[in-house]
Amino acid sequence: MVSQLNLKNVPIISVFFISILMLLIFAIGYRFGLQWTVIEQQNNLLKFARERIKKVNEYVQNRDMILNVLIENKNVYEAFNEKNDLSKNEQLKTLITTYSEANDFKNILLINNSGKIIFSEIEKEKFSINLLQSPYNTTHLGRSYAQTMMSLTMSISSFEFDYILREQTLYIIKPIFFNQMLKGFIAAQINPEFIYKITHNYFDLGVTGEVILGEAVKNGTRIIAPTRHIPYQLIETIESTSPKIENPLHEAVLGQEGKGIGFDHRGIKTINGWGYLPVLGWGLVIKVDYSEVENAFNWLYYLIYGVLIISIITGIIVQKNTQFFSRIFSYINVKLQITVGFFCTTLCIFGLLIAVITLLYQYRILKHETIQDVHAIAETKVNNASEEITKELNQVIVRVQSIAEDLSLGRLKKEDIVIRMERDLKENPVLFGLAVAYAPYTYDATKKLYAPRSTKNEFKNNTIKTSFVEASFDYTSQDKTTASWYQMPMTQNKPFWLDAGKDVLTNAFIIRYAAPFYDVADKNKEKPIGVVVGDYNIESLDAIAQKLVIGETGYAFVLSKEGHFMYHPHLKLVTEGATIFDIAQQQNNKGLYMVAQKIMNNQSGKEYYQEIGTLDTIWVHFNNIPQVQWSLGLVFSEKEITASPEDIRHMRMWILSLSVLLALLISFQVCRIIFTEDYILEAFAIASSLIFLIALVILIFIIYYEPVQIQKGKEAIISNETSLKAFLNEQQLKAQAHYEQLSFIPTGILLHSITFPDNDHISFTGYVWQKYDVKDKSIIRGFQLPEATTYGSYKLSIEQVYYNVTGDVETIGWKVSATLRQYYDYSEYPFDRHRATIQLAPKDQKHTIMLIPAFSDYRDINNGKLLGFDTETSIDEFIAQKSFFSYVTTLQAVSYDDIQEVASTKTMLEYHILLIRGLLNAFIIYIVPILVILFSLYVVFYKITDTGTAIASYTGLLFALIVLHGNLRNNYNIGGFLYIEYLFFLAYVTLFLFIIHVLAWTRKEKADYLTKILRLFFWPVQFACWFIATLIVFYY
Amino acid sequence: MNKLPFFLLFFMLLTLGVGIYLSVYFVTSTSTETIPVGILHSLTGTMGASEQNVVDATLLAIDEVNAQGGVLGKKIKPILFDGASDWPTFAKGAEKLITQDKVEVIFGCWTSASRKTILPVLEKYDHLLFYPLQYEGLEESPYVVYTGATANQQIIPGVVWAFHNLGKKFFLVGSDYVYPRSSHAINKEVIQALGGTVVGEEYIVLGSQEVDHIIKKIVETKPEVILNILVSESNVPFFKKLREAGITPEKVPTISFTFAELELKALDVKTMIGDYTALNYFQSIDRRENEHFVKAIKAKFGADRVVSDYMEAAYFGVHLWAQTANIAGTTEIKQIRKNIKNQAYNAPEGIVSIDQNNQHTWKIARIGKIQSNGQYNIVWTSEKTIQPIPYPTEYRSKEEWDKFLNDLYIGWGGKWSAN
Repeated sequence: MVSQLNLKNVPIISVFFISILMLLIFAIGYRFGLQWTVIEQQNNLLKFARERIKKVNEYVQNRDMILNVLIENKNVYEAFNEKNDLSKNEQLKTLITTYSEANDFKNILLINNSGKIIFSEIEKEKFSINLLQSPYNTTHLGRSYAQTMMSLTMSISSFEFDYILREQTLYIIKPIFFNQMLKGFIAAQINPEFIYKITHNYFDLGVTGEVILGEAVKNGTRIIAPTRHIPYQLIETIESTSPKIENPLHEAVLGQEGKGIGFDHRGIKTINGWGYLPVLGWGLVIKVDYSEVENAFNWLYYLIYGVLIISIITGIIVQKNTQFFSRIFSYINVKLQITVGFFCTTLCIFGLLIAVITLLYQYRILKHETIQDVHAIAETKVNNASEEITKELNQVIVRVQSIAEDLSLGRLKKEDIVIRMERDLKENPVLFGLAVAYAPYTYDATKKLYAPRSTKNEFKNNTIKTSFVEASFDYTSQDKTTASWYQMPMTQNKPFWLDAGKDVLTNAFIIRYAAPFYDVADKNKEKPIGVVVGDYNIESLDAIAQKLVIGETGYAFVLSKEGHFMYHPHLKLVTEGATIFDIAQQQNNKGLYMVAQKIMNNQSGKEYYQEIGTLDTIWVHFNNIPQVQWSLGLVFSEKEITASPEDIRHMRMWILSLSVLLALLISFQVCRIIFTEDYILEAFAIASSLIFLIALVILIFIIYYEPVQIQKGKEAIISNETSLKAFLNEQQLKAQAHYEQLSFIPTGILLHSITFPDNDHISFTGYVWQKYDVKDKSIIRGFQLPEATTYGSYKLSIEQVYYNVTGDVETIGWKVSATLRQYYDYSEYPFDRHRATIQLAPKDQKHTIMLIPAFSDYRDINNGKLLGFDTETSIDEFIAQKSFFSYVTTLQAVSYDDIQEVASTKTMLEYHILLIRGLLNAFIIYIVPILVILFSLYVVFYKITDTGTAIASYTGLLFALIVLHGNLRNNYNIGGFLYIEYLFFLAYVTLFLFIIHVLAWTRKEKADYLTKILRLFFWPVQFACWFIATLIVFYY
Repeated sequence: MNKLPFFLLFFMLLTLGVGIYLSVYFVTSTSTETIPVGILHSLTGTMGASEQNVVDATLLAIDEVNAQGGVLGKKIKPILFDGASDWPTFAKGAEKLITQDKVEVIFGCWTSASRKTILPVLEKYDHLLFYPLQYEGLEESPYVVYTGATANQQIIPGVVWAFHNLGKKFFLVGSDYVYPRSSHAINKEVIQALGGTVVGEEYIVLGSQEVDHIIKKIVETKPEVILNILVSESNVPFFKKLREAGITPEKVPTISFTFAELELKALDVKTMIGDYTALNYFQSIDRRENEHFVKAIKAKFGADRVVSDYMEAAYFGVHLWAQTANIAGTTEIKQIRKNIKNQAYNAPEGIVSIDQNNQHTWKIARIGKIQSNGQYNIVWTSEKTIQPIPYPTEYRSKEEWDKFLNDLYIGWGGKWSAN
């Protein structure tokens, strides 16, 4: 009996209302519950931060007090009067050693009033070093000594790497007085274990909790001690501004205390508490990953889904007990005639619909919230950088115009020009050079040309050198390349900014400002008698641009008002005078062309275009620099800044799963409405087959087209010249501190082919080229491939095929064929992704050499093509998605309690290619045959009624399946299962069921029932199983 | 009547009611209450011109705090009292601000004499003063938060730097009140500890223009460096007469401790190029926060305004107090005193923080050389902030310093200055 319901007075809105209300309650519960937990966590983290800051303060204060006792000891202050070598003063040595051991100091130094170390407890190398002299005056000990010497007050040094002791050191320095006379200073090296105890105490911080100590440095923030996620972080790392939102560590190092949500040094969303340690000038952040708190709170999510499942079950129960429930529904007293089952299924549909809509909304938030944050940051960064550039350019304008003005008014005498230029250069760090060029015979009636020029030498401590331009060439000539700086202001009688270019005299990349000046008698300033020129070094723009990196490959550029690149990380574009329109035309990218036009017309804003080839959305934020009508642009790829691909994939999978469920319910309802009872199941089986098939295809799209991302490890990713420069600056500083002469050898690689001979190897052929200074013959030419293997059939071949000398540059090219040992995981075949890595090392091991990517040689770097690839490069059945360089520091660690310390490091250049597999091969070799086998199985089952023929057919299909499976295992012989093997197992199970079915033929009644079930649900079950297996394998 | 529509109606009305309540709550939650704070400075008299600048910087900071949402959601309301360069008037002003105006905190005082005069009032009412000037130290009151420098953060680095870079024979000059007297006492100790000599020491009454006898002494004693702690208006006749006597920065450089950009405006800059000042802040500091500060001052008080050390200390003092009150969740004095320890602020001069023991500020020391544009070229700066040490006990004990101050006080007839 089918119960009838009368629901006239239950308007459909009430069904909506109850469903929405229920889900809203849960959603609000989730939202507020999570929010409350996050706030609670923030409060706890702030409390922890305060406690640890207090401990540090107490510890440092104690060290100070302990030292006070030592410096009052007669042996100590009298040591400064001794003429003899204090290392032989056993009494002093015993005193200090005992004292040091008892009070947790690692070393104690005595320094006299002239800065000379006269006693060192453990380190002989430190004897006689003068902390006021170069290079020791720039070390953290030297700098702190200077502060104590001037203020006669205790000071604490930075926590920096000491290249003599080869460890991070922290000193407390105090003056020593006796009888009101300054005797000298004491410096005690604090045992850094107290710092590690702070950063390695994860009590109450869950599994992702981390404690970070950092300090402010010029370019951002430096993490100063190893952390949970960077255990080897003993060497300084400048942390660039986070690509997402500001890192709480930045707040902490700037003296702020606080709590909140932010993004950490890994770019991961975290819950934080932070504070400042005034005594040391450090910031401290205690944080846990947001996902950890969120995951712990996911029970509400489960509750929501549980409620939905209960609704479905309730629907079924209601349907089974129609009489009982019809009484309840009848009680509602309504007239609309529907079945209870229909009503309950509809209710479930509404519930699922709301769940899908909620998930879609959350997905939208996930995708766009981060992008909005990044846009806001990009806008601020561009505005700040524009202001900074404007400020620097103004300094050039002011200096040039003031010299021109003083010359025109006679306030600056001709004989004082050089002194004035040199003084101005000295006082202004942004000025690279100044010149005054007189028109013919205006300086002196007997002298045709006179043009003194002062420039800085960056390689010699910015020493200023003055030369005379007229000695090199005639600047009054009409040659635009060398003399436009003179011609333009002279002919047009107004100041000019000239396009960027290489200075012919110094080889520096400069941007030049030139202003005319006049004879004292020429009050109306009608006829210039010369030009004052100020040079702005492009390196200064580089320093600003380095702060403007967003994402992995983001960079900044500056355009002149004509569209010429004044700055671009790919310097060749600047030197060749390329315009942004040239790039757009070269790439045949209309989108970029439109963006370029908008940049040239607009004051500021943001635009995007699609990159040719990858179809990535590239955003350009731009702002005008009014003084010079230049435009500053910041470029980044949208896919590099969105939420993590894993989060997006999970969300998409959930939406897809619920949508499938929803579609199944809807199709069931529709089938019940349209078809008679006899055909409902058949119609539903067809509909569900289609639903699962479509869902499977969508799922494969989700998995296959997930953006390829660089999984950052310990390496430094070098994607363009900006990131390379930032990295090299850091390396240079380290080398200087270590008194090493670092040589950079530009190295390029061009691949011809890549193959994967087995699971453990990669073979490649191609070219490698290097550029050397032709004058430096001491460096051995060549490179090594440290991972190359030569055993068995594997051969390494490096054959020199090219040699060229142009100017001072010697270029050598080699043809390379090698096999490298690398492990590849094929378990996700055919959706597996791999990173192929080629490690390059210099042949010369005597000098300190760093190979650097030869970016300027990659002509197609901006054409959407991959670095190191040409059109003919072949890579087996793979597709290259991304290629980049990186540096990896190999560490030789020694144990120090439970902390790892670095003994020595080596920085190697690596070239990487990120690969995804082309699906065609796998589709033809495995997927199509499996589908054919399944289809044959279905046909045999449908058409063949004879038992013997059926069993023979099934055996034949089983044999084909086994052969295919065997072939797969031969090709991809790994320990575990391959994803594609689940399809094989499914086919085996189906075959097994069909064989049972044949055996059951003898019992006709049962066999009929089984036949009906198998026939109806063969395809829906196949596709559903494929779908579920794929979902499970690729969810994690 | 059917119950279901009533049920629905009930929910709709409930939702509407909650919506209206929340709207009204959020609209009315923007409080109109204010927090009164006192500003106690001289607007008239010999110190008036100088202290007006500090008042301006304090008002700017109050505006900024209010623009950022105020303190605990309430706006700060400044109440100004003119100390009229008269120390007893300062004491009266402090009492009025505390008892009548019920201010939560006082920002004020320039001279040590004024600060020491109002200290008993602060003690009596258990109140709190934010004091923005560099001073001699020799004091550690829980009723004062000192945002200016102590001797080891300003004067001592100045003297040591001069000893190593300018010369070893010093002449000391100052206004005759507690700050210059005490500071020079410390200077003499430091010079002796370094092995230098003091060839002369002269004082004039605060605000006096009579400097001839000092110039005469300087000419006679032939020092290599002059250490100047003349305050406010007295600097103008001193430097004019010094130049008239042929003493230029090239011959005998002066290193000043209270003379900065503002005072320099009253003199011919050309004659001052090459002299030095030791302070913690100069307008020329290249920091984003300083750029904002200077811009804000110029925007509010005129493009020709220059900024000085004490203005900056007054400015960040207000921000520090507001920050502490917001963290403590109250403006109650005891809680502020408790929470301000280790509190830090990214000020125009750098990151400053309050010492956990003595309520003084960790500051960066700088030495600037006067340039032709009326600004300072910073020739030395400390690596990090320097710990504030109010009592330099390396030279005398705390008791000896206290006795020294008491002797001065008695010597001046129960006042903190000679006039």
